[in-house]
Amino acid sequence: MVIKASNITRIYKMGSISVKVLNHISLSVEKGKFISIMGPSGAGKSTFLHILGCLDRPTSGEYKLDGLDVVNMNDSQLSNYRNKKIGFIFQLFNLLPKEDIFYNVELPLFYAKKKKKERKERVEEVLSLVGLLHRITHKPNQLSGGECQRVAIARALVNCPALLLADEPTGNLDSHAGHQIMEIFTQLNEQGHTIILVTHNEEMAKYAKYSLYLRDGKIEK
Amino acid sequence: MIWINFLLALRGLLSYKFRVFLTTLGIIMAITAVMVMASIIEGAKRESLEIMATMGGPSNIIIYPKFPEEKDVIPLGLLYGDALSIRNRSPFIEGVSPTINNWVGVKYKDKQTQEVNGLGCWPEFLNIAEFEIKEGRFITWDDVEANHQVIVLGYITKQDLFGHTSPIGEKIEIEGRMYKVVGVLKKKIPKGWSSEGIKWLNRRYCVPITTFWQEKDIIHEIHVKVKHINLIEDAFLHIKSILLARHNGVDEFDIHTAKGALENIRQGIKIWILIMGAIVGISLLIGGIGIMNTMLATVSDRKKEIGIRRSVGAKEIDILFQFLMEAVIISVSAGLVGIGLGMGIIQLVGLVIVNVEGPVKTVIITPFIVGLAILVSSLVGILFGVYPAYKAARQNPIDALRYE
Repeated sequence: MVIKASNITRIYKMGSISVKVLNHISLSVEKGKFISIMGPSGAGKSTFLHILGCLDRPTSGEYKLDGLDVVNMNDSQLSNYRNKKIGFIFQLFNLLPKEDIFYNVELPLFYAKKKKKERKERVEEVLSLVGLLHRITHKPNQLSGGECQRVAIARALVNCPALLLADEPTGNLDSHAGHQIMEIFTQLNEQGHTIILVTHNEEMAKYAKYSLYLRDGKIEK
Repeated sequence: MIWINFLLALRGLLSYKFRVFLTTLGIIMAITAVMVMASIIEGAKRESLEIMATMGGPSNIIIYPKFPEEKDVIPLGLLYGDALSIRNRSPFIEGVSPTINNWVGVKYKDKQTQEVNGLGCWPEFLNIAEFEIKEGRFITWDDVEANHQVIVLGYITKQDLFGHTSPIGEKIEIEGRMYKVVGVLKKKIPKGWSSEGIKWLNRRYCVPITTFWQEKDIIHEIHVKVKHINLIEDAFLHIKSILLARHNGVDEFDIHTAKGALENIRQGIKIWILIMGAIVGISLLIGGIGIMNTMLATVSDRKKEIGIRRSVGAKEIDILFQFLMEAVIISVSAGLVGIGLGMGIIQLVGLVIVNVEGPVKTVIITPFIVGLAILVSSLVGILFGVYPAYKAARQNPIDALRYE
């Protein structure tokens, strides 16, 4: 079992107004699964993914990742988890625009305190995996959207995480590039990566082996 | 860990070079001022050392003749008898020597030296000037009274003329007159002094004053060593009264005390420290605030970047270190530019300040001054960089990621 989340509630406070974005959600995901979470915008999909990815903490509930209680971890432990166990892929790629592809993919390895030689080897390895080794010195704005997203996937993979979390990864791509990205996810899943995909595109969700729907902060089937 | 944070910071800085450049100006100015100030102080210290070296010691007095202020008086100048009177009557002194200075080359066989300082003096001059004998002997009272044509060579002059062989007993020619070498002085280098500035002191030779008259009984200076530094004021007043009495009340001499000269330098340094200290303080403050301002602007401009870094595993402390390191890199590189600029200014000043009477006074740069400048600039970077860095580190990663 990679993920075991139970009764996850997340309340945002904006001044005097409290918004319950997630309402007692429970989810277990076993190792090697490929799951899609669907639902309309504002349903809390991203918030849920952020909590699963240790970027955010639930207001209440329990969350165990690889058997370890994440909710009560301190910043350093959480960051370490994000760095080594989780790979994030975002709708807007979230690459550093002024830096070249090499540095963008190298970034997590810095925080993992890897040596220079190892950093170089790993970056080249994952970039060739997504077929972008020839773009290594380019800047993100010299790449197409699909290529940017493949760079982002390479970055997510560079520390060999067990879990990949993708938040609308095809949202900014044309359908051809979108399918290409999903093919890569399928392959990664076949190699044993656990993947959770958030999307509102049904066509893309079909790549996952299992889908669930989130509406108004609750899971419906 | 620190190295990686340094790399991250350097990379971060390169993405906003121009802003960094503008920020550095305040620090550059401050560090330049630090350099100039420190080197002036250092230069003054060396000047004090030089005074000590030429005057002999802190409790020394030198008397020079001067033109009297009264116009209708014919000046007598400083007389041999003045020195004798001081020697016989002042209870405060340890030693007296009248001196006659001459700048000519000396000859040994076919070897001729450049112009060196020749000094006619008394035996007590050795003790007054705090020189020591390396070989042979110094001038004696017998030499002075019997006009013996004997000479004691300065260390460098001896080296120039005789190399490593002993000169004792050899004959040396000075302006056509032959002197017999009876001794050699030890090389003298005061502590902390690069020998260049007082080389001329180590070239100087001494002869009995009675063999060195340019005009009978007229002497150039009187050197006095006072028994104790606390007696300098008493000695000063007593010498003055003796001289006034001998010169019919006409004030035609300057009485310099080493203590007074050192005091003047100390006062000068004090004023410099005040002025430069104020400039340094103000420009460091301005520079520091500039850095803080730039870093705060940077932190909000780069909110998204912070979010991205956090999402791939940067800890709060990593972000803190990156931004702190950026501030320190800014201030230290500004400091380095300031050091360069300061050195340039110091060299220029060194060229302008030339002491016509003797060696060129240079303003000095030591490794300590450079170290101080680097230390001060890194402290400013840390001090003013901490708050922006803390702000960057404490951003909520989700908010930072959503920021466009």
